[in-house]
Amino acid sequence: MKKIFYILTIFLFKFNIAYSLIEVDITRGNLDPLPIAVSPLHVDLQSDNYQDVKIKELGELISSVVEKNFRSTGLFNPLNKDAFVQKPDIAHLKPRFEDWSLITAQALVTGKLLIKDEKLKIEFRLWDVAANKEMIALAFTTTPSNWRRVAHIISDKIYERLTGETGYFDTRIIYVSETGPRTQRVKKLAIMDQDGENTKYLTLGNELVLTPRFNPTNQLVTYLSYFRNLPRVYLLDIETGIQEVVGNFPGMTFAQDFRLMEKK
Amino acid sequence: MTRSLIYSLSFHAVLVLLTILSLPFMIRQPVDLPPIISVELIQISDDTNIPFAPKARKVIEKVKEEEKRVVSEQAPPAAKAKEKPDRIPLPKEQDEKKKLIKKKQNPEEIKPEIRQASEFEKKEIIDTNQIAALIDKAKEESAKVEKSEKKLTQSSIKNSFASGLTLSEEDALRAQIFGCWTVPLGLPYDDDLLVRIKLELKQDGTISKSEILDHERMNRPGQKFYKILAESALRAVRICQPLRVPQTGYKKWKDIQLNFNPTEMLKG
Repeated sequence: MKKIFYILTIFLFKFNIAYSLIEVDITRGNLDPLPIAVSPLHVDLQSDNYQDVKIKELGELISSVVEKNFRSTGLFNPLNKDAFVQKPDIAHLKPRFEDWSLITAQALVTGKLLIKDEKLKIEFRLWDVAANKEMIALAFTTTPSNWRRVAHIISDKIYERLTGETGYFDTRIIYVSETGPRTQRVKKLAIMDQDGENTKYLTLGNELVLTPRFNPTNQLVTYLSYFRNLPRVYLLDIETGIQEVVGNFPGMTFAQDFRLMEKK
Repeated sequence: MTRSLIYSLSFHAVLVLLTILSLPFMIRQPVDLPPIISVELIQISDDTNIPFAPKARKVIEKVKEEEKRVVSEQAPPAAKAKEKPDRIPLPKEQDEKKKLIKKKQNPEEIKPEIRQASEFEKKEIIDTNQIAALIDKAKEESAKVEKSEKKLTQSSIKNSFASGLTLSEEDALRAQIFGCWTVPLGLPYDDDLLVRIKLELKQDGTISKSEILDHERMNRPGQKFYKILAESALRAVRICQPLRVPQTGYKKWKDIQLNFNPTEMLKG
């Protein structure tokens, strides 16, 4: 009886060995850009043709815009498309995460587009390759000619989801473009996307234009232009193209600007 | 007949001998094998780490308590000390103060010394409030220094004895995860962004279960950055699989907690 008691006590001690939880502090990581795979968007076969938009290339174009945006940030490293194993249509349904992690991708962007009844519908998904799960999925509908804007909005959404900061890709820059020889400079008011693409000229270049300013709240631009050698301030709506004169200001040398008026 | 036989035999013998000596493969030397060095793999964490001795813990607790006491003793009346700014402590007084520091708890003991002083001096010296304030100020400063020093040693002790891994094993694991963890840049570094991940490992170092300890914080509004950091940490651990864990002592490192803290790095 005593023996059994001893044995039991020995066993009790033996199984009582408990290890405290090991804690390891990780205070450093690498600062390499995040490897991201942007798969070309799958074009739905039922898509209609729309004017001069090349529907078959649109998927590739949108993904390359997104890729270019990411590369410009320095925070992401878009991987070479040649290394992609899975086809875009299957990847959009359910990616084989093993294949994507093989090429060291940590995040994956897939998408699909469809043009129906003169409307372009683009949907995309962002996948966490390591965790094998979807992080964000959104769909946008717009006119087909507006595809570049959608590509920028998609970039914004992905950027926000991965870094926590709001994206800045859906930004347009208004500027004065200068062409021609030094003695006969032609200055035109122009607008472009933040990546330098999609340039549109807003004036013809007959008159000198200066100091374009964006309204921070809507799509209005104000600029100074010389009409018959008299400085005039114009207000231009980019969406509609309607231009109106704010007034003649002879001898005006300072730049006009929008100011938010405080409500009293 | 016999003679010729002997000649023949000896001649043949010489020939055979020459053949043996001249043909290289006949005199092939045995391969020179280096002696086998036996290496014994042992668990050194038990010997190198400061053991879970209750003694060590007691010492640390004692130090902690002392620290608390010193901090709580700090008296605020610094303004009182300013009442007599023209009074410069003499070297003798300074000596006294040193003694006072030691016997601060019962100031009655210093009375005999004060009695010897003149009536005028007595008035000044007996102004205990002022002295106490000065002492406390001095103590406060020394305590601050002590505190910061002790904190350092304490944390290092805690690290080595709270963990069942040796320092080199811990470093190996840490270095591996450093390489895998892509820190999301642009995080606000003044926030408390500590992500604690508890892992359950298999024997080969792969992860069988991972859990973020404050996972409810991830979905709280305004904790967007925490969520992103937690996701990146989890990604790092998964990419790193299998983790570099020691060959032995599976029970010790079966459950492991990783504390991801980018503050140091983001501050630069």
